[in-house]
Amino acid sequence: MKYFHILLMSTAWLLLPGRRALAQQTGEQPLVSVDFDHINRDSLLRELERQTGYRFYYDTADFDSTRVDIHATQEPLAKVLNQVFSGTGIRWSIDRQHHVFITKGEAIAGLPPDFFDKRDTGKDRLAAADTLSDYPEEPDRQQPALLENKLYTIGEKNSGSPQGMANIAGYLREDKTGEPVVGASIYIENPRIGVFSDQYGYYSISLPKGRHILNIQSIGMRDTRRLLMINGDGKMNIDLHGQVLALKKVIVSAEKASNIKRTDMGVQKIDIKTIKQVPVVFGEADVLRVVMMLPGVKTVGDASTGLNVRGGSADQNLVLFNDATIYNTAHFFGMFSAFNPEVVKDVELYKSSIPAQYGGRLSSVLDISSREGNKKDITGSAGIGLLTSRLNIEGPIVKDKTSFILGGRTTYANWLLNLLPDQYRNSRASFYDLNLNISYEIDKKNNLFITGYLSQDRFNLNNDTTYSYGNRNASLKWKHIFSNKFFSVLSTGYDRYQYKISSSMNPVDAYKMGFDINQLYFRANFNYFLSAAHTLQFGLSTLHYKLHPGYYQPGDKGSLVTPVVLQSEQALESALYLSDKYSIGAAFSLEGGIRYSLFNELGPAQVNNYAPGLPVTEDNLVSTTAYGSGKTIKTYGGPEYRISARYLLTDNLSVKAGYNTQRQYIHMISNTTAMAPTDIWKLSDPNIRPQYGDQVSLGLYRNFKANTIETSVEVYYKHIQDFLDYKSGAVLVLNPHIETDLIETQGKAYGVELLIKKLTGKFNGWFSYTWSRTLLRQDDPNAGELINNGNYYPANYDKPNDATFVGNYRVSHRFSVSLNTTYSTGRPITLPIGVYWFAGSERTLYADRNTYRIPDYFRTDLSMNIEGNHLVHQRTHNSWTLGVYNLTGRKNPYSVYYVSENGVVNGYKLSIFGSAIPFVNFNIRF
Amino acid sequence: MKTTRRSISLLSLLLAVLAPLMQCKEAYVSPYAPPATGWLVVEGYITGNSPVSYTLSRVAKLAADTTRIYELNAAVQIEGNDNSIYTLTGQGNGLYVSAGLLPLDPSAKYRLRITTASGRKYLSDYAPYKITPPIDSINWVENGNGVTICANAHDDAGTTRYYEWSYDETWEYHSAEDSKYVYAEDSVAPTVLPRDSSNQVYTCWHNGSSTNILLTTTDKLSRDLVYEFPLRQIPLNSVPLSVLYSILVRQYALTDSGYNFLNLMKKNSESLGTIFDAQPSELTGNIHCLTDPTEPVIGFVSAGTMQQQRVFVSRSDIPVWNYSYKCQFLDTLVIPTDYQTYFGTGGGYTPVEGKTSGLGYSGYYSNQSYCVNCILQGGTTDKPTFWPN
Repeated sequence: MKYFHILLMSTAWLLLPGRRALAQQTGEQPLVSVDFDHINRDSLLRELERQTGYRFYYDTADFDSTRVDIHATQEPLAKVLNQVFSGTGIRWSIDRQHHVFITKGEAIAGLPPDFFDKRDTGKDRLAAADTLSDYPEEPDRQQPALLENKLYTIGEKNSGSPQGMANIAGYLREDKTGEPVVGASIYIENPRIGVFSDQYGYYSISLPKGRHILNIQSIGMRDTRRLLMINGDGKMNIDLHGQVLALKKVIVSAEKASNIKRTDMGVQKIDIKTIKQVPVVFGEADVLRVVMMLPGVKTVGDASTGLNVRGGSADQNLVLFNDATIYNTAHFFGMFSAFNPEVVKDVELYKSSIPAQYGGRLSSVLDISSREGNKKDITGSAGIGLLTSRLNIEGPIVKDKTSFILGGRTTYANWLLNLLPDQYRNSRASFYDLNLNISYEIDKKNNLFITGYLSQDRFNLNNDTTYSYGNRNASLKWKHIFSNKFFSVLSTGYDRYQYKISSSMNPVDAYKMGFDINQLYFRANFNYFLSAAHTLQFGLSTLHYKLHPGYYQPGDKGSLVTPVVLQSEQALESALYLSDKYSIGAAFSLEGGIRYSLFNELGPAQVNNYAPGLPVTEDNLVSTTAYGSGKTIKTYGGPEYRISARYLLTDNLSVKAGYNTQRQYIHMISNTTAMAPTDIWKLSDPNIRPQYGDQVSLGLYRNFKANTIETSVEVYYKHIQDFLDYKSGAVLVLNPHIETDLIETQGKAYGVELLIKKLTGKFNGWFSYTWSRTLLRQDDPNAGELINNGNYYPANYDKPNDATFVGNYRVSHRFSVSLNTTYSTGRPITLPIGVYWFAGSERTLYADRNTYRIPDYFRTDLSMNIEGNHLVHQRTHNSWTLGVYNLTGRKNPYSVYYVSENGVVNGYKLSIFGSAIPFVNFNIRF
Repeated sequence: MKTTRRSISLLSLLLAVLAPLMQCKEAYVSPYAPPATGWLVVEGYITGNSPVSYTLSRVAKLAADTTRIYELNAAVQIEGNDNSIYTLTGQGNGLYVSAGLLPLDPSAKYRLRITTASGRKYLSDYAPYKITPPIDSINWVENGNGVTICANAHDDAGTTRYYEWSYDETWEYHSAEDSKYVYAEDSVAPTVLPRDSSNQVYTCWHNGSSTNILLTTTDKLSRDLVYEFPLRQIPLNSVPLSVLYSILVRQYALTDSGYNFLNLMKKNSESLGTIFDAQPSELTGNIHCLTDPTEPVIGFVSAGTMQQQRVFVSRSDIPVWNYSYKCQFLDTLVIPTDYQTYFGTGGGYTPVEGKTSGLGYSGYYSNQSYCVNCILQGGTTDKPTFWPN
């Protein structure tokens, strides 16, 4: 809010001998012409400045948000100024140097001595913060106090009735970087009315007219408040000051209890600060590894970034990175996730109450947002680890208006491969990713966001087979504010995922093969703050898919490979949605949403028709139908319900319930345990139905110790229909009739999740425990083969017990220790039921799927974060992260398997990280 | 359509590449009690150009020391859809063999009928009689890891498409030292005698057979051409090529379903077991139990001609092959009073050369038996009939 329009800033101004200036001077003054309707004073003053060449000094905080109508032709400046500020209590003065000072109350002849001090001199304070105690209060005692104790008048005093409601809206921004503050709580105490800022830092709150104290609280930000005199609707932007470190001071706040007050359930948000504290293998902060430590989230093993959320498979998560869908979230065999920690701002996981604006996946939405970049200064950071390095630069393009952030990451893992035995020495593996975000504030009502993301992985084995895969995403988003109560976000973008494999080992078989998925989308979302009780969200989206399910082509001239190109698949997935957040009294609130999704598979395509009522096999293929380009082949669709309700039992105890349904039209086809880079995706078609899931959940939320400790218990039960599993011996790659190798299974998942979380203080972290089951069943004899005789069998990621502790202890401002510990039941595996002899060797025989389990999983990681000194006025700040992954060196089995070697069967237990792995990382900020 | 044999498994291999640094592989012993199965396992190939032989055995429990359970005294018949019937007779060890070559008709289809001694009846689906093209050549390729023996074949008609191979291999190898003496075990007068040539233990032949399922398909190629399909990898500087190596390769044509069966069996039992491998799955062949249709039977009956070819690879063919004996030479002199201790049962030494001093041998330079007696390395001193010179 403190916006100082100062073209030349010099400390000399503080010493200005301006006493001789005359107030309300009318002497030799320039004439100005203005003709404005409904202009705000800030803009008007700039126009006057332009016309007169005078310099104007004022604080926008002194103005309320009302607009004025002003019409003057060749009038003296004084007359215009008088007109502008009549009835506002604002005075002005002009000195001989043609400086115009506009102040509240007393007119001044020069700047008051504390005028510049009112500015938030955060940097100086930061310097003082380099001590163990909470940072001294002295330097900033007055300044925020000034803002906080100042009365802001919003709306015209005499406009309309003094009764009724008025709406205040605006942006919350971090004062130093100008970045939006997301998820902050904005509320008044009496009557209790509160809202949260959205992902753009925007808020809109309806308050009764009159005098209020508006409180603003956000994690990581210093709490603040504003005194408001509300006469009518108005705008109010608020800058928040980042909290350096809170050691001794415990922030006691009622409204941080968002987990209690929020209506939605099963939502977890983690900011990058927390993510960076959690030790991970190789020391590179990893967004997905931290998400895996949340209750209800599992993964099949150490080398997988595939998330299994509440019994869902890895492809049932919609992973959004700034609205772009990321199909492969892994780098380097799943050792790293595809998101550069320097660019990520926070991660939000919706596992139960999925907002109606999202759809298309059954289990969860993982919304990863990146930072907008510093709007004030060019800054950057760099990090060096054992296997990867990263660099990012951010800053304003136009100060306070347009900012960019550019981040890149690459690996140099080849040294690792060079340590291998001779026969592997020619292997190579590498990856990189690039991010670019531009945020452009066109004007107060229009914001534009441009994001681009590129990732690429490539590895080859002994110069023979080369694998590569990558994501490419670009998006454009426009936020437009129609009024305080109504805004829209329109976005469009293009996502692509592709992989390629080539081999030239054998000249006759040399081949190139590949797969890609392309999607073009448009989404329009509208937010309408109807009243204090109702917040409406509605919108529509449409998504055009084009998949190339595979090509297989000769690799070299001498190759005899017959080119095979599977027909492309295209479809349109559209949706309309409406949701309403409805507060019925202070204790009860309800959020109801409905989303109608529609999927049209489009031509051109040849569709296989199978005899009805018989298993889908090649033998039962009766005919094929050709569809022309753009023809609709098959339409699926239906409503999806998203309902959640909250009842506040006491101020720190609430109970919530939710029900939601989901439809998924695109499926990952994979019969490997982990998500592999060569997994393909398939659209629903006449032979493959969409997946359908519904979930009921119930939760109890309780906060302790002045809301510094959050606890929750959630139970859920979920049904999954038409989840794809595979027939024995299925061929998934380049299969033109892949439906004959797939079977549709029915699933159920249920569980209890417990979470204890402490987010502030010297010691912070969380403990989570989940008990859950995920069971699948294929009992339709007509669908082909029965799996496990048609009985329920556990899914690959069914790990009933799962406990995780994540903790960070801040010993001093410069030294902290993090520890995490995780335990889970071993995942199910299929073990041989016997051995037989065939083709010169003893061999294993398998029957029922997933009836046994690998040994339990246990791991502890430790890391230490050492920061350099915190002096502000130095060129760079650096920090070290040292740690040990898998501290106890436990050989956690990733898999157990049997293999025939030299004629005999040997059983093995394979661990990915079979020992304690130390790591070190160096980070630098500039 | 089938995956190419190298595309996906190499991904697994790459994970194995990282093994020394990160992965850790340990022996695993299942804590679970294996269920009883005892299902019938049927292995063989119906062919007209060599005697047909089928082996019947039973699935055994997975345990550290499983012994093979043979199915004896069964009645085994080959039935043609031209109403021909040929009986195989039991030879013991579960082996059932036809009386000589069978006059099979390439245009007919054949199936296998089994009635076990306990009266359970089994019958396979009919298998078409496929004509297997001849093996074009068996060649070897030297690479950094050793020598790879490869098969080459083609079918201009383009009807074969699915190939399977198996092989028998033999290699000649020598002991580190040539023992000219033999110890005569005699408790009264232990003595060392000159070794006669029929009793030599310097030159041995090792016989082995393929233990992997070897198969490929050319269904993705414009010509039905198999080029350098790797059959056998001989590790660098290892014993099989220390003197002379021979391999007899048999080639069979398969139907696509026969290929799929064996390919799934191979994936289930030979894949590397790393994280990107497909999970094991049920194996269903084309043999059915008539007595109890729900009883699984392991096996797939295929029919066709069989082609074979033998090649020799000599050590001198390979530019560099540094086979070295893990033995020291003539390191121990054994004097007469120690004969029984060293050369007797459990002594572990074999005399190599005599040490003369005046009147006669005063002792024998000897070496550990393992370095002298090639039989102890698993071979036999019986020279195969096909062995040159």
